[in-house]
Amino acid sequence: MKKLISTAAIFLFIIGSVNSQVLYDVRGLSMGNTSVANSYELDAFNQNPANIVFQRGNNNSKVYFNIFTTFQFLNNSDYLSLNFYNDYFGEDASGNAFVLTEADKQNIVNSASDQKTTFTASAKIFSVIYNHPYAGSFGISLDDRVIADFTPSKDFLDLGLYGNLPNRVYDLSQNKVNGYWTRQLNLSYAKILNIKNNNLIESISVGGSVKPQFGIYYFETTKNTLTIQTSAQNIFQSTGESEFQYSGIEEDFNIKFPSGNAGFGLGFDAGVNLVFKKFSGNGKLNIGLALADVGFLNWTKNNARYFNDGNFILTDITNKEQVDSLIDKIKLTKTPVPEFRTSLPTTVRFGATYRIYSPGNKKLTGLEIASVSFDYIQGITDKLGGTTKPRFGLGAEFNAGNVVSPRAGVSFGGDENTLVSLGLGIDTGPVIIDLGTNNITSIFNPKGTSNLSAGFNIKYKIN
Amino acid sequence: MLKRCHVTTTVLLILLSISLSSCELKSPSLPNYDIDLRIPFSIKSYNVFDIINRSSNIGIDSLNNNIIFIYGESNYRRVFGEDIKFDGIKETFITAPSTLQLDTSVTFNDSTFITTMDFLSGSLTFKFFNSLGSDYTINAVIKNFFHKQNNDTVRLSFTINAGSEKNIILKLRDYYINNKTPDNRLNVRISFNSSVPVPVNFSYILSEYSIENMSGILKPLNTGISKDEVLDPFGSDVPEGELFFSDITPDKNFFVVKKFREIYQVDFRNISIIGENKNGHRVRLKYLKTGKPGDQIDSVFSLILPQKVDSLAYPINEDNSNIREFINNIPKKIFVERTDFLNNTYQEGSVNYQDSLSLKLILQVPLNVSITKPIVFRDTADVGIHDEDQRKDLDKAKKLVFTLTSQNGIPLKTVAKVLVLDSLFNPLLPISLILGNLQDSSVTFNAGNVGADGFSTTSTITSYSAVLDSADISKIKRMGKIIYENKLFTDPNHIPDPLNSVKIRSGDRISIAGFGTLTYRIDPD
Repeated sequence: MKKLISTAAIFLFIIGSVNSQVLYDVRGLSMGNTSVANSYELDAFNQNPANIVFQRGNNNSKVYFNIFTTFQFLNNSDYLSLNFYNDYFGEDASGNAFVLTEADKQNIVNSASDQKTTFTASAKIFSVIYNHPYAGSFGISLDDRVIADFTPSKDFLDLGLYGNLPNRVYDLSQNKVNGYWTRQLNLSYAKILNIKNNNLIESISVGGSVKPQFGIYYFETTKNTLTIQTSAQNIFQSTGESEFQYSGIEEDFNIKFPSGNAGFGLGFDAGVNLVFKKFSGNGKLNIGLALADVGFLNWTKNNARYFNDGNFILTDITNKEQVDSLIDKIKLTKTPVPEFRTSLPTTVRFGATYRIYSPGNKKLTGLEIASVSFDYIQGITDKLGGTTKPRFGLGAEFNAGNVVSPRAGVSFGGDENTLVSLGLGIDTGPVIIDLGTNNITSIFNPKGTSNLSAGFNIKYKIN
Repeated sequence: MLKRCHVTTTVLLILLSISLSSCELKSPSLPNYDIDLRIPFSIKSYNVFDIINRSSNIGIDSLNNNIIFIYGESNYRRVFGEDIKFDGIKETFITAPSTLQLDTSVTFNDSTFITTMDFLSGSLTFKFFNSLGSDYTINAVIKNFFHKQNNDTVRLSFTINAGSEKNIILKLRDYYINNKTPDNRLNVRISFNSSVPVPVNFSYILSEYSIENMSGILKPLNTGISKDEVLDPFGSDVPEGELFFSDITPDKNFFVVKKFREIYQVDFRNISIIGENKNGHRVRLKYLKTGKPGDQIDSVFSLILPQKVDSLAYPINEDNSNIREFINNIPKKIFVERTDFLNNTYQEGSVNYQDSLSLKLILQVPLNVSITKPIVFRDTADVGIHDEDQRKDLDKAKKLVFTLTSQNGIPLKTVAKVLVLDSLFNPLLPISLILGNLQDSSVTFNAGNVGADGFSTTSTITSYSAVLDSADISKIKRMGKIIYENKLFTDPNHIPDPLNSVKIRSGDRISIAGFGTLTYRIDPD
């Protein structure tokens, strides 16, 4: 029983958190997750490939690159904050485990029941863009992303924290855990097409990406119908089954830093960005449209299905046969399975950016004073951590001179609901730094928020 | 404007610094907490078949609400063998004036007229006396008496010396009688080969004899007293205790008399049936004196199987017998004594020594009972906590609230004793004593509720709980056996008026569950 409870607890909290829809660049993260019309150079990878050809105003560099200096994570939960973690799952000052009171248990059950928690992290291992004066922009980027989600049902928490109450049905079928770790090589190209003799459109940039995909770990709950029923005599009867599908560079959930891949696939991005002529006296309007992550991933290595037959009855804990049978049932049965395919989390983005220039800048060139952006993001599939819930973003950036650019935004919908974002860009010349969060409470109350988010990005440019 | 932006930036950077510095992440450690684990220790469910053991003597009457019945059959069969016996005839003298030829007869039986008769035993002896002064020879023929070997008429030829006697002995098994019409004599013609007439002087003796078969008119024949006993007429698992059956199953209780060939009428006379229970207590079965309605009932009675009828069933019910008294004694043995008479109607017929008769007693009685002295049954269960982790977990238990619950759907009250022992049968925990706190170490589980029809309607739940301390819990770690002893009897308080018995169905069941709530500290370390 102890093992069961420990396993359940580890199951519940070590996996921790779960996924968000897509990967955002740090700048977009700070601006209400807007990026399809306003992103540029390295930030435009995976957002809108047409935008890699763009640079920040007043910049005309040939090369942008970074190595191991871009990282971001999002935690989306209704309850899992640092405080929650520290209060219940951290050691006290003496190094002892916390002892839960009845109120603590109730708080955990009230907070976490049936709540999906998603954790998304991504990192650019390296990326580089070369801007050719005539041929267009060429980009390459190697990105890792990890997405995990976990949903503990109320009955599961009740069972784990209060024990098996008599005459009760525990429906564990809502328990889910999924996790994915993928790597992609992004090969992008974009070019600006100047439109002549058109009073409306100044230019159109088009871009596309070919993205070889490398699967590293895949774990998904493919079936769960487990139900436990207790009787007045404490008889414990379980029915149903659960099933998990796995693929990974190591067998049996052994995680190590990837040196190979467990699957291979191909993805594609395509995008367009239209720049409109004098939309107003002192601003320009960009409209962007992108389709990202169209493709698939074939998982081929250490593929297995782990099956848990949950049909057992325990009427007598002193009955060795019953107890042995129960222990056998709890163990997962592993069955090798052939190669399987998953689709990528395909997303459509549409948005607009309005750049505001200083009143004296009649040509509307150079660095704008500020910009306001809007994005609509629609996931096509919920595979590999995607979501089909639409998300809206509204963001703004203010360029205080050439160096610093405070950013802010608000986003709605998706798995995260309403979040206010904040960030800062610092352009020192050869080095560009972006800091940001898509949830402002991550700054003001980082320990209390259950939507902890942060992004950090350092990139370099060579003129 | 620019200045304001720098201020904003500075503020943002400060906020980020504060924010990052406040993000303390404690070392991970799963929390400890107390939990109530509800553990099933043992659950036993018994139905009536577990209590009285299912056998061919236990049945379910699907036409009567699946009530359980007990079925008993005792068959007493006899083969005649040498029991068809005749007394024979004492020495009989025949004298007559001197002659050279004499026709006479030897009477076999005064009242039995034979068409054919074969013998198993016995002898016919002739003694001839010669009072003359010279020898003479006798030639005799017995006209209706034949050799089995060659079917020739029996002829005798011998010489009798002067002044002597001659014995001629015929072993009857070598001969047979054959008459065209039933006759009780052997017809004998004797010729004397002598120069002068011979004074007739001879005798014959017919010894006791038994027959192999015969046809003709048999005198009413007492074939003797036959005694028999049948063990376990209701099976070997007749429940202990004293059961009082309220009724018997209608139209299911009979005497069946049977003969296995058409022979003479058989009169089963002076039938005496005694049932003896496990304790040696005897009850005589009383029935109609001559098997006819209107007779008085008597512990010695007679039944008739007419000549033309192969078998006949005499119904037994509460009006024509003391069957309930007999059944309530639950006989372990049934003794039967009777005398069979053949051909009391003195009709022509036949009989063979291999012919047989049977008297069968068939009884069926529903479990509509009152039980004053409990039925006792015991069960020993092998138990044990074998998993080392579980045993260690028990060490962490603060207390165990142990509960023993019965859900009784049988309309019988149960007094139970539950004892936990180690695997060598050394007592560890007298659970029922701890729970019931009674001197006799028992707990009582109430009978199922009884409806107006005598069947149980709903189960009754009875629970006992007690808190076991850590010393008792450590004994549970060592347990190897649990012995249950259950005594069942009817509870008058649970039987609605005017009933005084309850009916037990095949589906009636009692479940006894032992389970505990273990207050336990979850400590992942």
